Amino acid sequence: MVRILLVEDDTDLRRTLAEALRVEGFNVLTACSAADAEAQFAHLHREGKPDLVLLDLSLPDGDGADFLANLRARSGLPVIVISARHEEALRVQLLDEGADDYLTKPFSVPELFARIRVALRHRGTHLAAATTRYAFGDVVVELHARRVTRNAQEVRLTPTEWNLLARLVRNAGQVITHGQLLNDVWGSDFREHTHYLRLYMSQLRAKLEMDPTSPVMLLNEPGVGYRLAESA
Amino acid sequence: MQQISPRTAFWVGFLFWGVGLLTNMLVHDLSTSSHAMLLVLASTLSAMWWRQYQVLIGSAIAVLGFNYMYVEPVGHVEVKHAEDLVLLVTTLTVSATVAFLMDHLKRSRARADAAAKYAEQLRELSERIRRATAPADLAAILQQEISLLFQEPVMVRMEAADGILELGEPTRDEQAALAHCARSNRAMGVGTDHFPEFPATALPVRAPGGSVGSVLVRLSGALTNPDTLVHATAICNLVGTEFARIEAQNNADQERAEKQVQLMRSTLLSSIAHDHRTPLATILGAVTSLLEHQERLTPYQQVALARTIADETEHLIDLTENTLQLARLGAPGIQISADWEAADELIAAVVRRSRQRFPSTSIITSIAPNLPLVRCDAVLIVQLLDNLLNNAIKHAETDESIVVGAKRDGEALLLSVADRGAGIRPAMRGTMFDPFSRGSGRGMGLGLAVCKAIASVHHASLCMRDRDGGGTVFEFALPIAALDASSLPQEN
Repeated sequence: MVRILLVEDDTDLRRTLAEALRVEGFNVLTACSAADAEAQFAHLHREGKPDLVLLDLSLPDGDGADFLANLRARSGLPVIVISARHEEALRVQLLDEGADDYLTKPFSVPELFARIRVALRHRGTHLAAATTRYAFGDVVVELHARRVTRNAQEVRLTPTEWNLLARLVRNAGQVITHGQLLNDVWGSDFREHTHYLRLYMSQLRAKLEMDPTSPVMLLNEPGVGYRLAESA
Repeated sequence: MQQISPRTAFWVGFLFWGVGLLTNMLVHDLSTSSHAMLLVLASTLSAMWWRQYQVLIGSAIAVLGFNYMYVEPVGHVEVKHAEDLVLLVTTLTVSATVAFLMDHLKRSRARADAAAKYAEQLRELSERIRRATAPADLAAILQQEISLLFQEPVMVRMEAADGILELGEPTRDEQAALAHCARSNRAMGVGTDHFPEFPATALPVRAPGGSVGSVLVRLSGALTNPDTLVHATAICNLVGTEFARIEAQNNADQERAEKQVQLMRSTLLSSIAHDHRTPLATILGAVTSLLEHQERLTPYQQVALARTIADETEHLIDLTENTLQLARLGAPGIQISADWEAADELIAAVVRRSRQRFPSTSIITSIAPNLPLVRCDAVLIVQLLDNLLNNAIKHAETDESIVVGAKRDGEALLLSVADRGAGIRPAMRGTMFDPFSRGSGRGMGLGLAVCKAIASVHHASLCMRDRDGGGTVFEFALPIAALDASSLPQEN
């Protein structure tokens, strides 16, 4: 059974979320602070350790950033950050520092399950590129063959377009921040060049989306980054 | 005479004496009185360069030498004739008088020069303090200027609105003197007639309304030039006046900010009073109904109640976000995090969410091709479009589509939301962007006020007009910033 550690200081929200997760069939551990979560990690045996962490940003003993840093130093365990809408800057910072995805409070339970599902699918893919084939609608991307087809017709991409799409495919379903995309596709000197990203996303949409003005695959998360819709 | 050193001045004066004495010795066929006249001439010329006592000593030596060499009996310091005595006394007196007048003239000249220099310093100082914006900066300038003037350690104590500023390290006695000087608004210590035995000089820093602080100069010796005290007083008054002006301005700014906060607080309180209660009452009604009459409700009714709870909660979330956003945007000195954004992406994100939330409403987009990127805060623009779209959805009276558009209009990017609602009554148009104005029934509360605030922080305009064929169009015009073409990506 999949084990989830829920780190949330609000008692009611913690109880409600834990209940919803148990109904969905997860084994739920809870912690009410970063220190509590740390302690649980220290005492649990290997086989009792969680498979995924849901981390609230505003904890009584810190913003969760230290906890994430400690966790990342030890393991690539998937972490989903839960934040209030006004905590944009911190949310992007934690995503850049290795959190896998985020949810903005208030969120619905189906949204939460969708994020958990994607994060678990990517579990362990921080080291090995397990996702090599992506399909959505009439579009198929094959990473190993460096090929994109739409309705079985090959789509020609420029090298940069390909690099950007491949980066998104490797984390399909998960948000990737502007900074991460710019860093991974163009290099660390280009982290502030958001306009590159806008132009290339627009080119990719023109080539791959049915209606580029109402995209269903290459999705924008305003103020955070981009998300490639889950492979279907 | 100011420009040359005392040493040079001495040698110039000495030269005149030398020339005078040499002439006296070389030219022999002169009368005694002519010799005396040459001496007077040498003394007068030397007086232009020499200090008073130097001229007197020089004259005395010359008169003795003259007596010895030319006055009968020659070779003796004696006077034989009464006429020669008159000549000697006159020569000496004239030399002394000239020396005295010259010295007086030189002193006044030096004073005038110093006064001009001080005036120039004051003018430079007044320009420097005009650039200072904080009371602490002024206190630092004052300390620096006064210590430059006296070349002695200087303590400053200024009474600002938010506490006392103290510079330097005054001893306990000096602290007491500083406080006393500021309170009595009177100079004290060395060089003044108030506690002249105190081993330092304290000056009040005066402003039109009274003193605003004081400075203290820890003197290591006596006060050499009383003029420096006058100049120091002028500096203190100049800084004091500016200090009072900055304090008054800061107080006014603070009052304005406080008023703004007051206004915001009352706005937020009314928001909660007006708009949050209704959805809360509805939610509570639905929940209690589910809890208490569950067995009597059909599954369909149960789902309908749950749906109501979800809808009202969403409404409450919008209200809360708008209330918080208005508070944030209303705060003084708000900073937005602007980045390059594509209008079509922002619209797509908003429309995608609205379609999920209101599946039965038809929303279409009309986006012009090749729109330029704009610099804006994506999160705020999304909230603005969200509000306008929710507004349109709530006021829609027909099934006709709501159109969200983007096009270029000169040097602005025009984002628009158009509906086929009943339109806005003319009476409402003046106030609809104010918090709590509402159309019919339940309004957006702060929605349009937040939109207006978001437009304002982007230096953009937001306006409403009637749509051709009925309904309303809200138009948001965002200025297009130039994107440096050389910074665009290159790829073959």
